Amino acid sequence: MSVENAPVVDVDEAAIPVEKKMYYRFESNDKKEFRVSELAIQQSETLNRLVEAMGYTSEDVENKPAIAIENIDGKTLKLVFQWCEHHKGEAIPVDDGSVPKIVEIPEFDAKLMDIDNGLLFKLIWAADYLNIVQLLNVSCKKVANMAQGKTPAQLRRVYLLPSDEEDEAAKRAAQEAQDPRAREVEEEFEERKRQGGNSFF
Amino acid sequence: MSNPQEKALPPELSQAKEDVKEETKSTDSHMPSLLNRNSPNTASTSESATQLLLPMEHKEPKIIIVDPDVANILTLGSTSLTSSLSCGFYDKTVKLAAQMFGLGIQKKSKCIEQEKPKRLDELPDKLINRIVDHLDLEDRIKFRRVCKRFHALIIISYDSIIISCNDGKAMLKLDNLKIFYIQDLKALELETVENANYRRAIEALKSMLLLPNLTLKNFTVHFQDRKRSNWAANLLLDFLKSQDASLSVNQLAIGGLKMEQIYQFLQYFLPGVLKSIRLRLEKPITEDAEYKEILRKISALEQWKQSSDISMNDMDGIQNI
Repeated sequence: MSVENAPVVDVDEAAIPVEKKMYYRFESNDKKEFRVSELAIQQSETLNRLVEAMGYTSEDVENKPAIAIENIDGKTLKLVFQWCEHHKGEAIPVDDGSVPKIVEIPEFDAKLMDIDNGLLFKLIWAADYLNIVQLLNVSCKKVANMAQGKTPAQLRRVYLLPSDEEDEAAKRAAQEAQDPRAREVEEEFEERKRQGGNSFF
Repeated sequence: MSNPQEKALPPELSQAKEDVKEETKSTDSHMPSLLNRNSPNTASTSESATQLLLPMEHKEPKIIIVDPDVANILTLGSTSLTSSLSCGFYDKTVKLAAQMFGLGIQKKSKCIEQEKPKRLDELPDKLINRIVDHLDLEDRIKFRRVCKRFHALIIISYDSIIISCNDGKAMLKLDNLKIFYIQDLKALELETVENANYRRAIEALKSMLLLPNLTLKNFTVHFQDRKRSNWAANLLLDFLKSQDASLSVNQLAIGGLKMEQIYQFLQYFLPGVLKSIRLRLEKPITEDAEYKEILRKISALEQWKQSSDISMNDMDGIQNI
């Protein structure tokens, strides 16, 4: 580096604040492209670390291929990035593994999550994968709210879960060896079923 | 540096990807009872049971509950009936009624037509737990019953258990959650010593006592049924014996057990941990020699000696249930 080149370096440094505002390009597994602001990306610990590690300049962002997120489809990723843009700059709760006792779902989030269960579960999965703590909190809270006051049979219907009976044939042998208590519960369930058959109201 | 995939993928991820691939297939294979609900040829287990249990002579508008979980709605005090009318339950009741009165079903349920479901059980354990962490004890207990995986996964805890059997009805109380067993019994059953409500409550109590590392502040057993107390107490004692139980309980209250049963019962509690014993005795203390002997045996128990607070015929706690 010669002395003459020093001013050029200065110019580059002056350009850094511009880079701070740059938009990264991401691509879902079904090849949908998204442009996301750097500040919004900070909500996702995973993506934030990724872009930091990549050290892209604003030129790189335009010239290099979009960053592929292989595990998430476009529909889900759109929701994720909408959420991140709306909540950009907000403090990120510390994730110590425990769930905060009270989670309020803001109006924007409630509207965003007014989606079918399948997509909601994908959103939860994506929030976890991308490590977006607050999105994970509100989406889990939303699913929990759906469960309130429901019986096991209703839960199976709401969440489209197979009952153990339906799942039985494939898993029976393995489960019994591993979990003797599960068998008890199953017996209790059978017992309840029998008794339920005799009940009137 | 430019490849985002170099971030280590969690092991469940590759699994999850496969799940997504097989989504359509697995949906078909796992969901026959939901998707084919309106097809006359396919019926879920409980629905075929329904058909068997519905003889043609049912003309009066009496509804038989075939599904124990449907029955549960009525026995769980705090469950709102409005929520029970949602989705599948509504479908089920409508279908039940239709079967009884010979009506066809035209209405299709919206929640069944939901396309391409990605199911809750495709989420990894830690995410299921994150969801369940938001739920209270009652909902957690019901969540656990959904399937074996959830049962093993979902942690519940409580400080207090009360079981009360009275007048053919039973109640279990876990902390503040009351579970009632108040199904009307057949006339025949009213005469017998066996009582399905008591039995169900005691069965449920068993599973609650089986919780690993359970420590209870309060455990109250109250049988107020002259005819059946003896049978109910033996049901419980047989279970404790079979488990070789040593329960961690601070305060114990017992009502309606015979002296001999109390003597056996106390032995299933950890001495030293048990600080308070309250007894309501069946009959007043007499000078009867046999009675004296059993009293002597009870007072010789470590559980008795190490308790700092012992009272008899004082069931204030119980009366307030």
